[in-house]
Amino acid sequence: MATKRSNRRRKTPGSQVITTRFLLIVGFFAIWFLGVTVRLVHLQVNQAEWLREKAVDQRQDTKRSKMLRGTIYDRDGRPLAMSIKVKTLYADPTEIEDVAVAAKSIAKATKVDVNQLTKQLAEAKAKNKRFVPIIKKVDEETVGRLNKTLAVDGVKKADSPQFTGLHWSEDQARSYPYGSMAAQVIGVSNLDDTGIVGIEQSQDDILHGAVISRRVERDRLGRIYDEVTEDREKPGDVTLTIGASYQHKVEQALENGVKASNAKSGMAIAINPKNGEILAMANYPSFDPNSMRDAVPANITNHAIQSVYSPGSVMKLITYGAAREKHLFSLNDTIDAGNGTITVADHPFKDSHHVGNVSYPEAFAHSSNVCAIKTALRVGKEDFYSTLTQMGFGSKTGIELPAETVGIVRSPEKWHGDSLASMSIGYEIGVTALQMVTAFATVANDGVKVTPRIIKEIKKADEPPVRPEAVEAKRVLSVEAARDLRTMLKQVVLTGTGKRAQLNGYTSGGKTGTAWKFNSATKSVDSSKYISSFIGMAPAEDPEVVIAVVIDEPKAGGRDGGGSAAPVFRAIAEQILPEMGVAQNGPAVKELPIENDIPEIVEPAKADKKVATNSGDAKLDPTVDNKKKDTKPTNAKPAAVEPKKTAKPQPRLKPAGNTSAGLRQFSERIEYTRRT
Amino acid sequence: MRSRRKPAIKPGPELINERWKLYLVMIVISAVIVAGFFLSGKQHFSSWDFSIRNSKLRKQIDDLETEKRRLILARETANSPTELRRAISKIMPGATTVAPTLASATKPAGKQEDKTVVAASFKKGDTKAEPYSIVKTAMVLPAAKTPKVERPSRTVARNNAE
Repeated sequence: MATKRSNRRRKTPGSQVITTRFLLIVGFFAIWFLGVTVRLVHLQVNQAEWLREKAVDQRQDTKRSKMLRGTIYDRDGRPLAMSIKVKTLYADPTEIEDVAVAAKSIAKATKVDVNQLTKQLAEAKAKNKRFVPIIKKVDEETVGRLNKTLAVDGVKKADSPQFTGLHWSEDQARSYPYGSMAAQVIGVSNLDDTGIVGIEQSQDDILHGAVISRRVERDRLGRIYDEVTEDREKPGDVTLTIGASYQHKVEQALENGVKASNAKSGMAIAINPKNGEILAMANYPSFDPNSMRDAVPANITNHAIQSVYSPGSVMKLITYGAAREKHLFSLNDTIDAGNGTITVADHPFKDSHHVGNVSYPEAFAHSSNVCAIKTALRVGKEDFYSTLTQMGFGSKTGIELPAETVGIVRSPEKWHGDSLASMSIGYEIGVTALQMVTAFATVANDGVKVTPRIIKEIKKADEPPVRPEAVEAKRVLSVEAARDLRTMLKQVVLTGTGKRAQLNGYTSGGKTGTAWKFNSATKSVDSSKYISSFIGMAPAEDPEVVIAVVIDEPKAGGRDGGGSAAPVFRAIAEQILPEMGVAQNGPAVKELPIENDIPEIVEPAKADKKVATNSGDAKLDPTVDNKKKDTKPTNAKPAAVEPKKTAKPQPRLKPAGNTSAGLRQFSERIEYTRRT
Repeated sequence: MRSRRKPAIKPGPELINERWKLYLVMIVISAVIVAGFFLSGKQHFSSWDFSIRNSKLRKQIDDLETEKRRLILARETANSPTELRRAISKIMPGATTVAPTLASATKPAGKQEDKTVVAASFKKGDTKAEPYSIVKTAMVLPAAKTPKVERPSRTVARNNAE
């Protein structure tokens, strides 16, 4: 028994020790576990938000960028305006500890002014701004070079450059590879990627690139392992009907013409009369959209659709068209110009040269005002006005370009006694070059109205190209009338005022026009300033192209339409027609000697100044006008006597009396300026 | 005094077999689980690796696309009349500047072959003198893509396969 008891006593301390030890270990683990739990609760409850943000910040990177703006192509697929990806180097001053030291290093690598950069960074850091652009819109090559230059040993960053606080942001730059070519048509977009002129403006909804965000997740080495990109509708591309090749030729010919005439400016349009496609639309002088800082604001305007001018004799086509449509004459009929003077509502109109009793084509070819006025008087106000509106005058043509003006066409109830006569020869009416060329194109298209268009197709990403909706064809002249008008136009080129528009190897037709400009300062027409134009088509029998050339204020050489604009037409047509694949159908024609011209404007001899005769377009004896000026407003009347010395202004044709108010206002609006 | 303890029963051969079966099943299950973990881990890291490669490739596509556009632009700029005129004046400083004319890309019937087309169709094997220098670059004309029937206007694309 004693032995058993002693054994029990020996065992008791051992088990106690084990128990104690066990409890100690359990306690230790319990405390450890409690500590961990407390810490976990602290981290996951109290500091959860902060930690989550920190973790996300470490691995996630969200960048917002704009999709590349759509491309504008010409009809042959050449890019006329294109955006490319570029990068902007920016600093996040909140990440930079010593702004002065960093600025010094950055300035050395990027070659920017160190003082200015230091100031910028310091200010931004004080205001807690995180974006300070340093170099904007640089290409990949420069990016690579700067990354090497800016790299600092020991700096580890997920993105380049390896310089604390410096980052690259994606950007885009718009480029116009052909420079000033068709600049007014293509337009320009600003730094915010918003079109502000031309197609860039009118098709901004299609071309504009949406802002997208891209979230990337990086591992500890900075490698992207996950990427979430916001997918938005991609911008579309616009293909124009303009051909870069045609456009260049038209611009070149226009520039040469404007320079040869020492003119202020010029515009030219080439249109396909079969489908209304604008092949070229040029303005001179122009501007380079790649360097808008150097652009002259006036040159940005697309005068071909935004400027209104008095067309002068080219309007006679409409006059004869209205008469022919009413079957008032046939080509074999004759018309008597009498003594070359006609008085309508006490307003005498004269011819530049006596034509006598001639056939209608001859009267048209020699641009007889008297014959045109007589014809218009037979047509009547209402029918003439109806033809004008049907031809598209006084309304927008519908071309897909912004800021097109409607021109100025008053309704018959607002006309004066001589308004019909004036309008029949291209005064008291304001048109755009596009309206004029469209009217000629309608004649070329056998009397079916042509709706000009400049967009060939629009192509959105992953979708087939879409062509603009075709406008319903509307006949405004009979086929016979249109054909007769084309015969008359051909006569102008063969024997009339437009001889210089004869083409080598092609037949052509057209009409010259010369109009005095309205001077807003003197509130009267200025006999020393013209707008000379020629609108023609070729081949004359079945025209493939209609070309309008308008020269503003020609000062040298032949200043009328036949002398200044017709040669430009010839230069354009002779280059464009072979390129269009039009087969030659006419005789070889050499350059016409100047003495063979039939000028529209006859400069009066010194002895004849008192009884000056004038042009086929403008024809008022200034003496008569001065006598009339107190009783009759004549400022919008045709009057084109060219003084020998342009330094001495012609007598002003001031409007006077109550009846002049409306006309003066109208004449002011005729001013050849930008209209929106 | 009779012992309260039950006499230790020596396990029979059947019981030993049952236990081994149990152990075997446990081992198999453990192996399956471990293999599962191993495979899923491998898949995870493989997917991670593919994502990284995918991102790199995507970046390469972006860079190539950018480069392609840049080259097209550079080519068009070089072909522009202004640049051609500048080049002529550089090559022939004293010569009268001839206005360069562009060749239309559309080739009308019955006309001479377009200069651009000649340049593009020039082959390496040709012994004739190369009329124009050929710059190998990306295509110019935008390729027409097959139309899609439906396209969501706004979707969110997740590129990672995970």
